[in-house]
Amino acid sequence: MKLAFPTRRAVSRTLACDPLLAWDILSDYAAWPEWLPLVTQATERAREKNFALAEVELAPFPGRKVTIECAHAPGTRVLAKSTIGQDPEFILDWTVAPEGAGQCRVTVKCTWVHTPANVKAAMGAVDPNAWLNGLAAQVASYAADVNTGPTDPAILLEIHETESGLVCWYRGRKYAMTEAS
Amino acid sequence: MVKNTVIVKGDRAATYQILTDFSKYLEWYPECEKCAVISVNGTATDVDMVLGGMKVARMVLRYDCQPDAVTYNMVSSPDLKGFTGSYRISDNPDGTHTVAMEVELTASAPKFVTDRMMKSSLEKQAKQLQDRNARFAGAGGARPAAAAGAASSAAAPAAAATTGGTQPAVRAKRPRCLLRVRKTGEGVSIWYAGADYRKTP
Repeated sequence: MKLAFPTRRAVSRTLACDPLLAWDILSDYAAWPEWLPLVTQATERAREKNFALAEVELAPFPGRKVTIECAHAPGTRVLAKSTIGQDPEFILDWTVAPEGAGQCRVTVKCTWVHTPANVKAAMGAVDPNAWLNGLAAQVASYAADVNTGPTDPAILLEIHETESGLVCWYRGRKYAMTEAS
Repeated sequence: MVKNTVIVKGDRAATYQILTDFSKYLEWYPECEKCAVISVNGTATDVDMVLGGMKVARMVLRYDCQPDAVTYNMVSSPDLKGFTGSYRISDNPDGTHTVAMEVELTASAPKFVTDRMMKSSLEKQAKQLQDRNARFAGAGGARPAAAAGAASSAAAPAAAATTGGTQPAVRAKRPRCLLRVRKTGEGVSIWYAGADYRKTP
């Protein structure tokens, strides 16, 4: 008999961004390591319409690949769960709802099945508050407009990542940066 | 409003994928002669659709795709006065799932005529959903949805993608700020990856 303790936690937060931006970040599974402290590596293996299959490595279990199935309802929900038989077993259910002008409410419901083998490692890592902190930080990085540059004269320097490379705003002037090596 | 329900034995994710893959409606929707996606905005997808049958009906429908329901409303049509409906998917305790379909067609023809047409259409759609789901599962197109009872019944179906599925497209990157240096009264503040670091002389 397998000893398992499912735990469920739900945390919500209001973020200062368009719901679509939050959803875009949440459904970009390959970029999860950039902001989600739980995930250190992620590769999107397949994607079709509202479904995706990704492989992730979790912070508490370095070197162990976990396959996750993801379903996303555009703009409103992202649900990711480890496939059957994986250790750890978990479901991350993200919902995004508009909340006033330029704001949205993001809720993450985490179901995590603790087992004697993973409970110690996972205990500190299953922290939905930290995940929302990461998401808020990621959202903030998209707030600035690379085309107009900083509007606050106190900002001396801003470096943006764009499709065509790095762009720098320095003292009100825009520069395209090129790779030196 | 004409209604029909069908119990589908196959995978719920496959059914959802069939219902939301508008480009393939031609393959299973009985009277569909054209179905082209015009635009996608959040959960809403506008679709240019032509239905055949007794009379050709051209229309633009707006589909709203939620994890457990796909609803649609007519945006415009030169041939119809109204066309609304939905597909609602719910899990059954025996592992099957039910698709509840309903549709309301308003046209210049008498209601008993349009209702009869829609009733026939829903019956054919029900059969097609069952058959297509079975073929989909047989071809390895979808994976089992439930994870040891952990997923809620309202949860979206699990990923249909498999190792043989569609390769992920490269996502267009939104421009984003990586680093910002701001002059403050005491020195400078450096913003990096969402956190502020203060530097004083």
